[in-house]
Amino acid sequence: MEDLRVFLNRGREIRRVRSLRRKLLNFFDTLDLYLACGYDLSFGWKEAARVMPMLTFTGESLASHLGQISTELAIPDFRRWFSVLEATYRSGAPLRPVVRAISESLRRDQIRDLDEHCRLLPSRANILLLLFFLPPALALVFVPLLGALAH
Amino acid sequence: MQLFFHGVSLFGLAAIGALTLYFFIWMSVRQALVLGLRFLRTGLRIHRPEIGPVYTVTILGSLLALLMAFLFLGNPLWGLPASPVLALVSLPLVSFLAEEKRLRVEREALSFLHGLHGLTQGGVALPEAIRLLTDEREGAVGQTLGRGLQLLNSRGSLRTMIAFVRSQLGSGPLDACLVGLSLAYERGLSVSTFLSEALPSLEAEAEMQRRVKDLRRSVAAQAAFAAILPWVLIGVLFSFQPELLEEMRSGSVGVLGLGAFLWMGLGVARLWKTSEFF
Repeated sequence: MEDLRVFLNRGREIRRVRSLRRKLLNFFDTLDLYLACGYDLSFGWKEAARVMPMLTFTGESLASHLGQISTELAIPDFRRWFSVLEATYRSGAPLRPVVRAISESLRRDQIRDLDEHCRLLPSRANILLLLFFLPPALALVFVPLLGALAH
Repeated sequence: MQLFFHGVSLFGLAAIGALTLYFFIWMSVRQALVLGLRFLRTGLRIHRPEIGPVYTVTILGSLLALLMAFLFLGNPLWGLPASPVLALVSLPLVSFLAEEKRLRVEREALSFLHGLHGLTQGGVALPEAIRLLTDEREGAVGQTLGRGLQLLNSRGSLRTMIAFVRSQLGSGPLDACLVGLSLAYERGLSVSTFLSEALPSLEAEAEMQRRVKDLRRSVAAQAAFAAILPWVLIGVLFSFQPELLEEMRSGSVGVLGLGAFLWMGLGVARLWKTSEFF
């Protein structure tokens, strides 16, 4: 039953991942803009979190906040980016290249996902058209005719 | 005497009911007209839920349906099912139109930022570049910029102007870019360099949205064609064989038609859901 539920909710889960990836992309793009203007990560983070409120920084240490996100974020695939960001932040290395790299990687993943969606959608649409439109169309056209012939 | 009091009570109840119904209908129609006029004057809002047009279409459309039912069928009650149908149809339509407007505004804003980039690269100061571009802009973004420019002229603060533009255009990547633009200008950073770095990501996001929209449009066209074609064929068939329509009314074939309609409706919903990317 659990497998069936997972199977039925697969589409919804995929869309949730895409939506979260899109929000993360907007978040990192915004963060990058603030870093480009010379603001530090904590200020830029607070402003960028308006795009993605679930990442809002609540005033404790940003490093521990990054660590928390890297272990608790809903989608495991996205946690590694925050681990990388946390390690870079703790080391004191420049953050902008890392943020840009994360942003570009997320964008590439999103575009790849969109390409696959565009590739598969025509065949899925054809199956749905065959399943949901062809039988009732044939029934609507032929059943009255066959009924009239039978009489 | 008792009959008199009963009559007065009934008359009073009927009068109260009629007045209540009158005021309810009058207030509903009045509100529908107010919301409709405001919608025509200001257009769809793009970053807040839009219930006004749905209300207007439902109320005014229902009244029209009641009138048409009275004129053509002799009984206005036949027009009552139009209300829920109009509400159900106008809701997704208004959402669709608001989404179209949002995408159009983002395209216009992107075009504006490209113009700004070009002018600032050529050495024009940011406030002057905004003035030059606003003069030649039309559409929602142009009007918003025009009003923002009045703020800039009156208060002399670019931050106030950009805050106003942000409040009109809603949140998203463009909003972040406008904030960054304001901050870069205040910090004395090169606006041209900032825009060189911000514009590619905005372009990529816009391109993605365009592809998703085009894909959904093609799916919508397929679904509409597949859903409408059988009924057109049925209409042609019945125009040549009217006795088949009598059989449709008689019972089982009518049930078949209703079942086919519901199954196709399910197919349209499923197809639309499958085409969603986000």
